[in-house]
Order: sequence, then C-alpha cells, then structure tokens
Amino acid sequence: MVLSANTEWEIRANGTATGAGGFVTGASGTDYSQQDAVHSTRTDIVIDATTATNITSAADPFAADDVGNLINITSGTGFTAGRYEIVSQAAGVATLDRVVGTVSSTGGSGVLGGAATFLDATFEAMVAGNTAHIAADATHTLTAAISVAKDGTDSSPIKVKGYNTTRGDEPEGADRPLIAAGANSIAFDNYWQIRFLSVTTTASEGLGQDNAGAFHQCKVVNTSGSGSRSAIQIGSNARIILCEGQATNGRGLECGSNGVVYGCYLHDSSDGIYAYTSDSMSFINCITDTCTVGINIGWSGASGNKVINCTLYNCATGALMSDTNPLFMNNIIDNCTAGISASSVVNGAFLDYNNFSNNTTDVTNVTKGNNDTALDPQFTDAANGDFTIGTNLKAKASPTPSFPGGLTNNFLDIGAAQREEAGGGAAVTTATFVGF
Amino acid sequence: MINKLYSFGDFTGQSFTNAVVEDFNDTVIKGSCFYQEYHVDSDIFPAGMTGVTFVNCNLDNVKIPKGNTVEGGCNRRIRVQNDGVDWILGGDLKPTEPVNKKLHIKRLLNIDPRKIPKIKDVKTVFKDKKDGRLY
Repeated sequence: MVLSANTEWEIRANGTATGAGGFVTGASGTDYSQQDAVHSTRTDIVIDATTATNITSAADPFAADDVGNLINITSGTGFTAGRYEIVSQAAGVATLDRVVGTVSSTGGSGVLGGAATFLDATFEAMVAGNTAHIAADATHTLTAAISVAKDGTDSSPIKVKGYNTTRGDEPEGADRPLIAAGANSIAFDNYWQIRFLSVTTTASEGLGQDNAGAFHQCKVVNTSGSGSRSAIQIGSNARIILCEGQATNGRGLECGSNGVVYGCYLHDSSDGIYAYTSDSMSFINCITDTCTVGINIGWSGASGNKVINCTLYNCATGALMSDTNPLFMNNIIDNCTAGISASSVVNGAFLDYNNFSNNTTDVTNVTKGNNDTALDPQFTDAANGDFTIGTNLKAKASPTPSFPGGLTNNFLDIGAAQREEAGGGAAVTTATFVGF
Repeated sequence: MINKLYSFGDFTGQSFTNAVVEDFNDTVIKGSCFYQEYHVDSDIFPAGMTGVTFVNCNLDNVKIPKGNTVEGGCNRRIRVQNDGVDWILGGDLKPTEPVNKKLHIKRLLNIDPRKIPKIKDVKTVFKDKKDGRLY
C-alpha cells in the first residue's frame, strides 16, 4: 500500500515542519490537518509483534476520529520515518497504509495532524492524485531548496493549489500565497499542476518543473543580478496558462518543447520567453513587454513553433525567430527596435496577418505577409501594462481569414488582448493580464 | 514577543540600517526572508539591535549582530561562482556545494567545487530537459 490518491494536504506558513499535513477525503475520522498546530504528539509508539502495519501508544491510544489522518513518524529505532495514513482503528490500535518498520519496535515518535510547511520533504511524501492546498496565511519563507523527484501521472497529476481564505477560492494578485524563496529553487518533476502561487526568487530556476505539467495563474519574479536565470521554467509537453514572469537579467519564461503558453505576461526581462531550442511550442495570447528579446527562438535547429495572437511591445527585438518553419500570425509588434528578426534567411517562416507599428525595423531575414497591417494599436496604457487595443485593430476588417467555405465569419482582434464588444458582459471571464 | 512588523515578511535584498532599532529589539521575528544576493555577511540591521530571536528565517548572507540569536531557518554564506551557480561557502569562503544540490544531481550538473571553471562560463548551467543539449 501507499498513501491514498485521495489525500488532501494542507500547507501553511504557520504550520510546522513535522506537521503530518494530510487527510484522506471521505475517511470516517476528523480532519486534523487544517489547523496550524499538530493534533497530537506521541513518543511511545510500538509496532505490533506480528503485524508491522499496526501501531499502539499506551499514553495516547489511537481513536476512531484519527482515521483518515496522516501520522508523521519522525524517529525511533526500527521505525521507518515518513508520513502514513491511519486507515482504521480498533481498540486503540491504528492500522497504517503500509509497513512502518520492524515488528515489536518500541519508542517511536510521531505527529498526527497539523498543517505541514512548504518543504521538499512535504512534497516528496505526496503520491499521484494528491492535492496540496497552500494557504495564504502568511509569507512562506524557504530556508532550503526544493527539488521534488516524485511524479504524478498522466491520469493522476499531483495538484498544488494556492488559496486565500478558503480552499478553492482561486486567488488572484496579492491574494495568492507568497513564497519567498531567496536563493532556493522550487523545482518539481513530471505531471504536477501548480496553481495560484506567487514566488520571489534569485535562483537559477525560480519555479520550475520537468515534463507534462502545468502552471496556472502563478507569478514569479526573479530579481537576480546574475544573467540567464529564469522566473518560470518548464520542460516538455507543459501548459502555462495566465502566468506572469519577470527575470530582471534573465528569462521570464524558459521553455522546453511541445507545450502551450497561453495568456501569459512576460515583462521587464532579458528574454520574455526563452524558447531557444524549443520545438513545436505554441504561444497564444501572450504579452511580452519591455524585454531585450520578447520571444527568443534564436537557434536555427528549433522548428515548428507557433506565435499566435501575441503582443510584443517595447523590446529591442520583438521576436528572435531563427526557427526553421515557424508560424507567426495575428500578432502586434509595436515599439520595438527590431520587430521580427532571424540571424539568417528563414524561407520556411509563415508570417501573415500581423500588425507592425512604431518599430525601427519590422523584419529582418523573414518576409512579411500580404495581409499585414501597420496601424497604431492605440493601447490604453502600454507604459503601465494595459495593452487593450483601440478601434484601429478591432476585427472589423476580419484580419484573420474567414473559415473555408465562407459560411462562418471570423472576428478575432489582432494581438493578445481581445476587445469587449457592445452588449458583452462587464466582467472578464478570464483573469486579466496584468496584476491578476 | 512576536514582532508583527517584521515577521512573515519578504524582505529579500532590503536593508534596515536606517530603521528604528526599537522596532527590532527584544522581539521574536518569525518566518521572514532577509536574503541578500550580492554580499556575504551583509550588515542590514540597525546599529544597536539586540535581543532579537530569529525563528525559521532565511538569513542567508546576512550578518547577525552579537546579542541576537537564530533558531532554525538558514544563515548560510552564498556566492555565485564562475559556473554561474550559487554555491554555499565554507568558513574559508570557498565553495562547498551548490545551494540547489539536489537539483544539480538530478540535472547531472557539477556538484564538485574543484570542477568550477577558473573563468566564468555559464553555458554549463543550462541543459535542455528534453534532450540534454547545452545552451
């Protein structure tokens, strides 16, 4: 046995490092994980003489309400330290989800209940299917690096969700839990879904994960004075949705391949998006603002990357595009020294339906499309990060082609931010780009 | 007494040398990040600070004045080396291991201080996760 996939974890700044931190949804006991202090601490735990999953405590016998809680076995000769689920209880004997050590061992110490803290060991204890709830009760200060080797799976990712006051409240902006990482990286392995966190860092990888994971509504600011560090870093087959990244001397977002980056805001970085060697990435509805390079796909060995409905603003180079066969469509490239540039001629590039405005040079070594425009995008307040467009780029001229057959009209605004039309709902249904 | 002003704060890179020392003295500061990137043993607290207990704080590269105590947390000396990596320094200010050692092991990156290049070379730091290409 292993911990149940239905374990829900509670992580608080005011929790404790040894807090067991978890409860199995649907279990018959009382959830003692959603509290700062541990529920109980035992120092006289004994492993049964014949069944190594059964434990007792003479001083504090286990009770029915303990069932479903995790117990963190912290020490004891013959005990294997770790977090275990109490799956049942009878006459003061707790049965755990798996063998806890050598039969007849005595003097074990363990903690039941209480929120855990944002530590490597906490995340390493999780299993596929688990959900960790990160409270915004106070700043989570890291005092050691986090590099989690544990994986979720395709069908059972491990989910990490920040919340403000109530689990599931999906906080935005400053309501998200803040992780002050210092020089410590926060790196997850495969199949993790990280949502609603805010991170400050100087580490080479600020907040990262390997393959097939997702970041949603996370904000990472990397203030390091060293170059080439990343705020957000992802491997392959990842999904980055509505995230904000800033790396003063590095990369707002550093990508692997075959993933999707949607609705992100990357700004005030050396590279807004660094996809130098990426293949088959899709960048959709993203904004890069005030970067040396907005989107850097600068290696000629990269291929098949797509940049669609993005806004590249105030960059020395809007897009460095040496990809052998990129698609670059329906974007705004405004106020850049070089709009789209490749180090050598890229004949395989497909660029069209873009709007180039206020650039010193629109394109270098790539060819503009026949349907490009050169209109002032009339940003509402670009200097302060508001890239909503004016009527010039409204989809009145159907800037993207109608669907084949001519039966369906298409009205898609150019660039990342879409206009709200008359009669539309007043509230945005997706988070806004800046300060979300 | 828990110091509500300075507990659970993100004070990365900030200096408090001009702050009111009475706001610190004889208090417990819990769970804050005072990390300083640029200089080891940074003087960031006001002169005359005393009686402060730092609990579970990130005090990397921060000099703790005499008369104050540290419980838990970290108070390491960290400096970026020629490989572009943050290394923890020993008492002789020589690198001992990367701050993110576990990640370096996973990425098959150097964790031996003797192999730090003599000249600056950040290219060895970044390896593509998919196919191991260096860039």
